[in-house]
Amino acid sequence: MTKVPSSIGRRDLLRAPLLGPFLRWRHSRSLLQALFLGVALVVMADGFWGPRLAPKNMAGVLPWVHWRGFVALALLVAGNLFCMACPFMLPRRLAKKLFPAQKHWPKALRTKWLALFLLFLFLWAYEAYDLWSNPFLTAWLALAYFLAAFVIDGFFRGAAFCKHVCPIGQFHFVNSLASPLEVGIREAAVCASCRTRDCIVGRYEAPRGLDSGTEALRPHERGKLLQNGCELWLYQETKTGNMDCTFCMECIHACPHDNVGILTRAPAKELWEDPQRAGVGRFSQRPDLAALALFLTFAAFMNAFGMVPPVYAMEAWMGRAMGTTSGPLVVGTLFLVGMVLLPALLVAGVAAASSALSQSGRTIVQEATRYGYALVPVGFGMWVAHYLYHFLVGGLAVIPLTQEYLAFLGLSFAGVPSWGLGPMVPGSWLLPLELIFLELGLLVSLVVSYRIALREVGEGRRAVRAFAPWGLLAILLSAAGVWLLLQPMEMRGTLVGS
Amino acid sequence: MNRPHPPAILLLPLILLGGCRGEIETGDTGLVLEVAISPTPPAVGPARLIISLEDSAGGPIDGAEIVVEGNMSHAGMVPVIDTAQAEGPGRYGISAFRFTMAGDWILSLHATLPDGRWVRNQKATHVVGAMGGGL
Repeated sequence: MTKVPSSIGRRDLLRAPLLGPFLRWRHSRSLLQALFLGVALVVMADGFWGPRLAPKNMAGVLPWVHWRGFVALALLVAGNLFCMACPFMLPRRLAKKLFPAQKHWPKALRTKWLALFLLFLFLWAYEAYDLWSNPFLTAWLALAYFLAAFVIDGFFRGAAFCKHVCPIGQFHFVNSLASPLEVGIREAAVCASCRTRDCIVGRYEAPRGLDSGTEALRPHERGKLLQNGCELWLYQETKTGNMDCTFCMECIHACPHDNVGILTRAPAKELWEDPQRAGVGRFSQRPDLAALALFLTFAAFMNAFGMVPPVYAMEAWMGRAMGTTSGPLVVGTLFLVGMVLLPALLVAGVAAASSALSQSGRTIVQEATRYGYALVPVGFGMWVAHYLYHFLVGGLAVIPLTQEYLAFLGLSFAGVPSWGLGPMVPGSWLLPLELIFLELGLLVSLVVSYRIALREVGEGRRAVRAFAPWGLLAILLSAAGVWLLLQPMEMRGTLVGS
Repeated sequence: MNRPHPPAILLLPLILLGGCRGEIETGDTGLVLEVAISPTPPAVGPARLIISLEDSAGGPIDGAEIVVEGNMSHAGMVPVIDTAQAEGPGRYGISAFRFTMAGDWILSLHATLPDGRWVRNQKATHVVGAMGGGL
């Protein structure tokens, strides 16, 4: 197999000054995880035993202002950096040491449907129980996450928790499809000549035997595991893009040929391409993945809808119509309609129109599964606008909070808390910035849907006809986003009793 | 394989200790600190706060320094901090406490008496009204 060297024209973060040597250091990820574990412990301790008032509690500030802001920024300018530094990975690594973890993840669950359901639950709980204003529940959520990662990966092989369960991970997987960095191979020819496949099976004390032409050894016959391979089953030679990639860098450290890097790429290009992807398959044959992508797209707008006044009137009307005063029930119904039923109807209609207009001969599900990914950028634009808003408005609020936290510990060198700190940019910048992110997302969605149409039905009128319904849906979503951004905003949450 | 980092383990007790700040104490139980807001519900912009400070028998207490801090229930918003002025026996007020955004607010009142006793109280309120665009 002859291939053009894969990394031509692409920059490699591992070869960048300062950052490159750090990332190549074998313990860099552990260090990042340890740092974030420390932050998670602070969040849990303060959440369980600290002040109830969210702005005065690390569990109110760090996850919902800073973490979300950093995630949005990281996905926008780099890639799935949060999974790289995820603190929940430390307990799962401990579980791998303590338990055999030899069970295979059930075949019936090797899709994204379970993760999609859990993601829905996560977003519903966030809204129904005002997690952003409830440090105690936030702490419980973090603890539940640690326990879930520990238990699931203590039982099952590989990174079952990351790949099939973690709702936050799915958010990163989908939105990182539009990111400018990916973990990939530098030279295709090197992989083609590789016999050991350490990037997927791991590196052991004894060589696998294939390189020397002798009989291959099974992993358990090869002594101690020195370096994991990819635990999400993404074999580097045929890995494409960021889906299911946690940027764990195991493959980078495992590759004996130093042939894996963190490479720049054309953002969102993988959304219109449809190769056979290692550990994932073809996007066009994964309705579960397409459903996840579409769900996250519409969820971006519903999540933002939860912060503007019209939602209160709608919730009140729904409560009366349903004859209930249960907030969680009303929010659950609203989300079910807004994130699942309405999107399903809209997408089905658009897919039917696209199929009919372009005479593609595909079913609605097939058409939606091929084109659905095109909406990821406009959804991502909305997520970025929303999360960066909170970050830019309150990013500096962590300074006085840390001062107070340290003062409690007797570390008075930090000075008197300056509670006036908060905004990172002038207020007048916010709306233009939000609109820029949203419309950039729309632009990319339009490009992606047209490129998909070109690949599916060829150039000419048929491509325009196939593209038009999807482009229209992207414009509709963007218009909804503009309307949301122009609404007066309300910060709601659990009211503290007087 | 990687081993736990000793410095991180040593930091653990410190981290957990910092989380034990607990809920804010309410101070002297023999003091009653209340606040009313006008208009009710308040709108985005200035509102008048009417504050009363009494002992448990209902007697007015004068000469206290009363600071009011308004926080939104969502973290990350800059709090509004103002000091009340004496307006009569046991009565204090802030003529223009500026609510900067619509949504749920928690007013935290802290009164310090000349003799050093102090009392705290909180009041939640919902602020209505529009102000600017931008999520």
